[in-house]
Amino acid sequence: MSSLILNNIFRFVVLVLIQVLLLKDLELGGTNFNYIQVYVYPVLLFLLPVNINRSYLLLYGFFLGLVIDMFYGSPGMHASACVFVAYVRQVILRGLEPRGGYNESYSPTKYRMGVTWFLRYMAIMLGIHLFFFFSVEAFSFAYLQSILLKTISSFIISFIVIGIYVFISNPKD
Amino acid sequence: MRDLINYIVKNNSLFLFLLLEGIALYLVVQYNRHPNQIWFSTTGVFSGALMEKYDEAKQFVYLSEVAKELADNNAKLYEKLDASRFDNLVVIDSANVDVFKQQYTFMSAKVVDNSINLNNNTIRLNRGRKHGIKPHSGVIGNNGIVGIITDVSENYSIALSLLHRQTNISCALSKNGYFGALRWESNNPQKMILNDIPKHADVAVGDSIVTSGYSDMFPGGVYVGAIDSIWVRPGSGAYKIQVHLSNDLSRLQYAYIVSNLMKEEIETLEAQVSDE
Repeated sequence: MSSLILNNIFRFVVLVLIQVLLLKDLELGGTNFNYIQVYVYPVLLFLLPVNINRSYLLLYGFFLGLVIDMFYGSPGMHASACVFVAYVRQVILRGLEPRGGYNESYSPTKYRMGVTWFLRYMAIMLGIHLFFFFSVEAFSFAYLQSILLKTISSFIISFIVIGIYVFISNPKD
Repeated sequence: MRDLINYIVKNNSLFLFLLLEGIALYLVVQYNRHPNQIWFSTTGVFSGALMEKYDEAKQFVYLSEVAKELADNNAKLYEKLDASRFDNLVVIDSANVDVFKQQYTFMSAKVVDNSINLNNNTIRLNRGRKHGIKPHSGVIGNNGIVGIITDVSENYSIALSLLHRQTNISCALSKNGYFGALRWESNNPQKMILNDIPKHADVAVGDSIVTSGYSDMFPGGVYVGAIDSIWVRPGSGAYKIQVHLSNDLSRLQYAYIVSNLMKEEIETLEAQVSDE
């Protein structure tokens, strides 16, 4: 149990530092296609245990979002996206439930659930996260085209980066 | 009543969700109206210190380029020295020191944090109240204007970048003085739009755009960029002009904060006018 908490704290520190020190400054699209932002920190929410108390999950998401907002200078934007993803996570886990059910104390990781399952789960969660985030950032669906463009291009790159992280570190829980 | 309480207890995660989401969105809305003073002063303490350390390390990469830019700037300044000008003045009857009174002062500052890929970008500088910086001061870089200070804490200040949806700076064509409002309407950090230039004005691609000097934040004549393309929005009597910024905000390392020494005088004068 305590190793689970330690793992998560360690993961939190490492991924947040990678996010705010490296990925924040990347300008992959250059000046002409300024629609690509790389986010690796949402995976922190994906990897928490299946049976985690939903209220704790929400508070964790809120805190994580505020920390990211602090460095991005965007009060509330990442926090709102994180809280939203934390809230819908259970619904998505139920939707993807394998035939035998989950082992409730495990975390939904690639190690526990297999590559195909995990990639699908990650794609859905990341897609929701980014779409919600870019909508809040624009704060109006009048910019739907730019929101979608940003969501799709950022999704592709973030998916690859998170994939690399998961395949390299291959966390158990 | 009891049913209601039971419902709340059972579904407490929904209420927690609504509460947290409400707080987050409230922050977003507050921030969209004006960069939030409280947010800035509390978080600046943590993230500002770390960012400054990180930036010091990152600077080594750009050191040679910065040195070159500084050398160029020095050269320009040498040109402005009295010693490097030819003295045409033959007769001096009375020296009047008041003729050229200093109006703007410039304080160099280091860029501690900067973004260009959001809709509303801000810049954090390592000069604050302690150094005499006040909100609504202009910020210029080596190659042109950069933004406007909006919030000041003890050691840091935050500036609205040019690349912010609320940016609105009075700029003019340098060749004939027609002026309009400069805004950032695209997602491209190199292009801004100059609005409200009347259709009868003589404009051409490549003309230079400078600050108009009508606001009390920037001295007039600071170079902003060159005209990229020109078109007329149907049904309006004014040009929309795309300006290519001379300053590459994505590589900003140092900036100068402009303080207007006569600002109070101007403000009192304007207050008198609005009182009448």
